[in-house]
Amino acid sequence: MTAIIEARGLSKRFGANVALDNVSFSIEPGRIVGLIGPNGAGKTTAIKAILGLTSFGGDLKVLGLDPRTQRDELMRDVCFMADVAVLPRWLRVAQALDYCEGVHPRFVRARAEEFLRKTDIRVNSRVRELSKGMVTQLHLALTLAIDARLLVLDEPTLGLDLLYRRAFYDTLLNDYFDKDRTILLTTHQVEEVENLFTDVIFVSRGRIALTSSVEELGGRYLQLTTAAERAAPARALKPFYEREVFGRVAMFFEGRTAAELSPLGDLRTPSIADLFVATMQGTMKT
Amino acid sequence: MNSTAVAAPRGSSSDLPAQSPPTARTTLATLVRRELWEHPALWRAPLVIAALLIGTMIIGVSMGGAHIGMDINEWEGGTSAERRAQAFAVSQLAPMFPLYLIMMLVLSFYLLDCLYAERKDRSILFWKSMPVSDGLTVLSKLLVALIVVPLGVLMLAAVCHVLLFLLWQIGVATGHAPAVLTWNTVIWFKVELVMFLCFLLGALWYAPVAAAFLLVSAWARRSPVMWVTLAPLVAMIVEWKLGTHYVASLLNYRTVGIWQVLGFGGGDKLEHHSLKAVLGDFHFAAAFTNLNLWLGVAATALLILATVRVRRYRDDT
Repeated sequence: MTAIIEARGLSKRFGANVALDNVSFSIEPGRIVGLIGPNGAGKTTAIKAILGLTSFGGDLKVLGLDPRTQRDELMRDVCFMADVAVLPRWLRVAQALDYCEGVHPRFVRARAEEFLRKTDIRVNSRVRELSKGMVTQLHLALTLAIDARLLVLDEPTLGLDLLYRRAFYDTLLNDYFDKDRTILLTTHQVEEVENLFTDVIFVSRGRIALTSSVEELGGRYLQLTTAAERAAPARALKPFYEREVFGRVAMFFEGRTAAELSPLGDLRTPSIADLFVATMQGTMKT
Repeated sequence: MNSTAVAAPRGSSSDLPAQSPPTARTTLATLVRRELWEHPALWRAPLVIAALLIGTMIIGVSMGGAHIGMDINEWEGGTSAERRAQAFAVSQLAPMFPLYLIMMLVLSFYLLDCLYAERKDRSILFWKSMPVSDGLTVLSKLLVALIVVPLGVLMLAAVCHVLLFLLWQIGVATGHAPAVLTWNTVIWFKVELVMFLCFLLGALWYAPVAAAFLLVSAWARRSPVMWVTLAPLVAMIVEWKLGTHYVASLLNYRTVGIWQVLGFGGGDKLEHHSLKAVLGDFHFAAAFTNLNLWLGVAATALLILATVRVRRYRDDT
């Protein structure tokens, strides 16, 4: 029982639509896990299941608790941030602080205030008066002031400009993350946050397409770039995805060694974004 | 075993001031405050009515309160001790009616909105990210509607009455109002007790209505107000075609039933009856032991359980 999240055969359907199709995965403590997938892949459904916000089939333990029946207990140790729209517009900043302090045993008000002092947010402002970026900062301030074991972020920077997004993830990494905490994050903007992840889970059409730690990715996946006319010998080694740009071909291999591939062109570990595209395109074909 | 190690506070937070974790009571108090933040009409509307009453009285006593004094002047023996006591009791009860009327109105809208708005603006995802159970959340809303606001209005009415009484005395002193009101502490306590018992009775009697509104608020995909107005209306029209009137009589009974048991007569009786008509004739024992009152309380429990379940499992964000 060391895993923070342990999912076995997670299933959920909406009518004929399968949102989660017998999904199993486990998340260890002290990791930053990227749950990555195209729209409608089942990311948000998985997150809602983890948070006990939706019904589902299968076996799921979060911090050793069943989110279906032990949700209230679970939420003491789990923090959740959905996209920016969920702080009510009528709420004042000071009220948000009062509220969290009044109901959350692990909320440290001074820490939230310290964070807010670094922003332009005034305590008597209402959420409706703040910009989208400031609302996210406020929500982040509330979230980071909670001493939780698991932080779940569902597209937290959706609709924010680059400066806010960068600051958001810097804060997350520098002020919050440590070996006792686990972060589960979904996002569309993989390129921006790929240095953040320690683990990735790719989901596609309700299934897991790939799950790996980032350190293992380098051993499992290789990206070979070569001139189009020299691609044939590499193609014989069965890349699972290839893409041609400006007369050069990028091929993605799983389970090949550097010794096999390096004579055939330039070899590197694929970026998570490239690997994601390759995996999605690869699974779409089959 | 790992939980104790992981849950231990981090070093970095030790330099921050320690705070005691919220107890169930502070949590509930916070939830109630949150309702008053989101729905300021709950306390603003009664305050506005109270201000209007006092404003009217100020105008009345400064310009010669002919209208206000008229009823009392026409009473026979308007200066007898009993009449004075009766007038005092009536003056004490009077501010209650407009205050309670506006309170019922804002509470109805509040109950229909409170579990609907949070789904509409998706803020339910924020509230649900806090370790607050759905049960406590729904209870806090019921508590606001049945206890917190009515008790607040009761106190506001008492303050309002004292202010109106003082203004009247100023009117008397300046010759703008007849000297028919004398402060009567015994009557004051009696009337306040009656009003407090009526508040308790009202909380119990209207609890199933409040709980039904909460259920509609948690359940309706759109416009809970339409549901509670149109659904009974359609039912009544269908019944009218069938020649029955169960829905209408049920609604009527839930609105006024307990007050009839209590023995509330029409206002016109006050003129002809003695002081007892104002205070002594209420059948509180009969009202509080009324079977339908307690059946309603039982129905409330079921409706609240249903509401909690709907809020817990409904997923339309």
